[in-house]
Amino acid sequence: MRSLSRKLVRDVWRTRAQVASIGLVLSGGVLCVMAIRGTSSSLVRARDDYYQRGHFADVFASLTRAPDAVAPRLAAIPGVSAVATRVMKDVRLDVPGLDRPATGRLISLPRAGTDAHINRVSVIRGRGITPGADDEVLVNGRFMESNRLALGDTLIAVINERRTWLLIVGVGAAPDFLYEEAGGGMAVDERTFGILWAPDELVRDATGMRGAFNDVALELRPGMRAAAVIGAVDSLLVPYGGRGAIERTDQLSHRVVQNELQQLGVMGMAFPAFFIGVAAFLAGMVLTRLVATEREQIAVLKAFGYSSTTIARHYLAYAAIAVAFGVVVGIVIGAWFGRRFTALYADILRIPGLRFRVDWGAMTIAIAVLAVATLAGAARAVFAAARLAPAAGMQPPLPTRYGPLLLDRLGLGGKLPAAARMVLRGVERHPARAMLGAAGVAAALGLMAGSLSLYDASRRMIEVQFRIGHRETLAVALATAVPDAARTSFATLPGVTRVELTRVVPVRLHHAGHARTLALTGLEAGAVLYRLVDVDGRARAVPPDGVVISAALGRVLDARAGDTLQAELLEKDATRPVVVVGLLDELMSPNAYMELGALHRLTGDAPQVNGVVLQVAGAPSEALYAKMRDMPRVIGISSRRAMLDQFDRMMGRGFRVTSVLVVVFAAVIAIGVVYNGARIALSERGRELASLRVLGFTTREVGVLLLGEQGILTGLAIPLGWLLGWLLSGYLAGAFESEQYQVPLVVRAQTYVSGTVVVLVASILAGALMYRRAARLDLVAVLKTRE
Amino acid sequence: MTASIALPTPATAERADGLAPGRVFFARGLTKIYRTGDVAVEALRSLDLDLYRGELLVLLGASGSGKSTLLNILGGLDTATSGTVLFEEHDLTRMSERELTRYRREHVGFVFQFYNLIPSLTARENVALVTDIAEHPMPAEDALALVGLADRMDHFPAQLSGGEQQRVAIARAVAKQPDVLLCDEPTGALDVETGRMVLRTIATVNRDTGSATALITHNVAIAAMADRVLRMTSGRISEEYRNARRAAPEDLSW
Repeated sequence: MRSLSRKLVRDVWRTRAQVASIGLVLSGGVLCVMAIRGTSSSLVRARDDYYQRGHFADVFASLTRAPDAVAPRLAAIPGVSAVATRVMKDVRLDVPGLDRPATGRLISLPRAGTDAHINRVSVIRGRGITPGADDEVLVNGRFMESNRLALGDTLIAVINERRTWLLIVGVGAAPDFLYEEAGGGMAVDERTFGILWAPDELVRDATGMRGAFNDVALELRPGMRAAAVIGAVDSLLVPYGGRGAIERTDQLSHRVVQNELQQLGVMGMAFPAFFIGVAAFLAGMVLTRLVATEREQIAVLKAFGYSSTTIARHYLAYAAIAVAFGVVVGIVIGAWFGRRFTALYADILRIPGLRFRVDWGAMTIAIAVLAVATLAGAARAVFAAARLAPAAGMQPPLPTRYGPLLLDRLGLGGKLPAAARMVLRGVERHPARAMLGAAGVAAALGLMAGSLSLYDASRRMIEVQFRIGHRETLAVALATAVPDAARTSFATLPGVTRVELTRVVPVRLHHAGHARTLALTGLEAGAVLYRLVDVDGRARAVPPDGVVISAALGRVLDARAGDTLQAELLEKDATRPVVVVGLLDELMSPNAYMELGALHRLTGDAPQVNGVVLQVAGAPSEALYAKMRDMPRVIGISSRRAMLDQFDRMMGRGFRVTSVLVVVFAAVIAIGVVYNGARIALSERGRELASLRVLGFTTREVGVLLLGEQGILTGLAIPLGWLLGWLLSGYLAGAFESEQYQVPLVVRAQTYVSGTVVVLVASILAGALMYRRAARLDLVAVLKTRE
Repeated sequence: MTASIALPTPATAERADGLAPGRVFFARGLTKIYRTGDVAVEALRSLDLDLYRGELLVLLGASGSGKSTLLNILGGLDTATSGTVLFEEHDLTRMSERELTRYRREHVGFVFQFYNLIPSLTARENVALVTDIAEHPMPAEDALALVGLADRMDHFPAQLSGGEQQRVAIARAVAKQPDVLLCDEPTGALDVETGRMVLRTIATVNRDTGSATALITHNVAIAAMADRVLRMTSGRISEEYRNARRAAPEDLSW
């Protein structure tokens, strides 16, 4: 080994705590890229693979009923390469072990022998349907797991008022149901919604759809744009109750996957950036000090004939070792977190073949950026070392000139004790270093508060939606519209204290050349269980006339209050004008609301409803569920309590994984900054502090002087960290926003407090380590040497 | 001041001997062995020493003779391997780290070769650093006036010459009105002229405050200003004599 390399190894070993702290901060960046980018690229890859294998359709349309003969006409639309028709119907399910009725979405599998490969259903577990069997079904995984169903269990489906026994033979998955819930909402009652893929014959017979279909998926020729086809599909399906074709981007499952990927993408960029910044700063700080303490050695090496380049390389190698350490640690821990993250997503998004894979492309770029940034941080110190003239290096550096404190100049410093002056002048002397140190600790706090605020935002969204907007005990889905006289039959059910009726009508709203397909919701005037609520949680009454639309929808349609929209009633082949009476800035979009009576007037129907929300005194009783099971049109009941519990469970798991990660790295950053700051202060001022010990200062008094500066910086860092956390939270909220979601900017006091506690504890820990070193200062040695 | 904390008191036999009037230090059989790895260096070999109030003692010796080790032990910076050192009635060899800190804080003034001033504090503040924690200090301004720096009080170390810095260090050492003033090569880093001025300051302080003063130097010329001179060789006192008359520092030359 060359002697310079030996020196390098010993320098690294001697300053291993500092090297490790730079490395660990860097490892945070590597870890984020590894885990977050890895998860997102694993998701993308598994999704794309599965979309390809399962032939995920390009265009989707549902309709009331069309004869099979319509299918070839759809196939003949220019640009369409294949058509798959099916029957899809929501039916009521009685699930063993579940008190309330669930909704089963019964979907017909392609007939044997047809070539309908689109949205192909795959069998994840168990077996496929036996040809000719008429009572076998495949069930989606989430429903199976949440209800603890096993292969061979039987479900009872009430199909057209007939009870039908269905045998579960396998767990299925399909590209159009990667996300397997009824709504795209944040909280779902997962036990009460299942997907049942059943033989074509069974579904068509049971639903009276023999020779007909009510759902169609189209595959387009390569390069064909969906928008060009949708118009033709719609005009073809209008006579059959077509509800408006949609393209992939509007398909629920696809949209949920996209939203998740968007969020992962944001986090995969924002967090590594944080770590890179701090690591570069630390590397610069540590190396600057190392070079300063080694002035004489550098001078001697140069005097012996080592070139500036060799010297520069020597110190760069020092930084490179820290980088290498961080990369290795980041990869190891990142692989573990990546698997955990992917598992969390696999629970929500059922993509067959989804497993964590490292995105080595992104990793290469990330490692390169990390290395360059860290080395750049170290560059100033390295240049200083390279430039040092041998003769100058032999001389002690010029004593630092101190001036009067800013406080003194302002005339406020008169009463300050000498110790306080020392600390304050230290801060004033290196304002950039002090500021960066404070910024580093603030970054730790901001990182923690900002990322954990995502959970605050989610809780806030749930709060707004399910505690202010929705306050029902149970939401009942009805198979077909019923007259609003049905109110009485619900009102008399055991335990029911309030009944509110709702109606959902599929519409396509047109304005100024823009259009959006959505569900127009009718609510009762004076409703208290299902109310309009804005982002700030303010409930609003539904106006007696006209339509209230989401503010986001207003932007899409370029519509303001007072504008008249054309409402295309998709079940009726009719278009009617409706005036926008208000825009509602809400968390989830797009929505349109009307008072129930106004909605009836718009559609020209007799008063009718297809949803009921109930308030029940106490927990819903078995008797209540039994009565509702006897109501043939009830196809499902979801419990708000179960939704909230489910949400809490999901959030809880995600929160645990994320918070462990965030707490660890906030602590790593804070310790790294404070420890290195104090370590450098000790090496720069060790002599000064030892002199004070000689003069009779106690260890504690010297400790205060040493750590006072770090204390001040930490004190400055805390409010700054709150601000950073708030900014990061705002950035994430903005970046997570989509046409469907608006993420509120919420950081709970608790989040700030926990971030502050972590940073303080980490700082105190780092300070304690330094304090122990300061207590062991060699008092005699320091008096014998010149600085 | 006499320490109110429970400092260890010596055994009765030693007390009878140790409490001679005016005696500040009483050291017997002092031995200090430094061990580095397998090598043991005997820096002090069974050395005896007394120092009296108001006395100015000069310790002469080549480097490695053990004079700094002796000063460090007297100053509570280091502890002897064996032997006894009494400061007044307190046994330094039996003090804990905490008690030694307290001892230095209340009784000892140090002056070093390299001044060891705090660069971020002005002259006045450097002195105040000590008066802030001392029991009966003189005002920092008086201490600086004593060393002739009344008009340089608000200067930072970087704005002072070497001699001025050393005088600030002396002011800092005497401001607490110490019982003992220990100076380790105080002129080592100074030119002759400045060195004389510093020595005069030390002599003045010794006379005016009555502190027992021990001054280490390898410069034989300085010995003339002492009441008593000890020459150290290889950890032992090889020569001891009294000057009939203390020479004035201005008259010294080297």
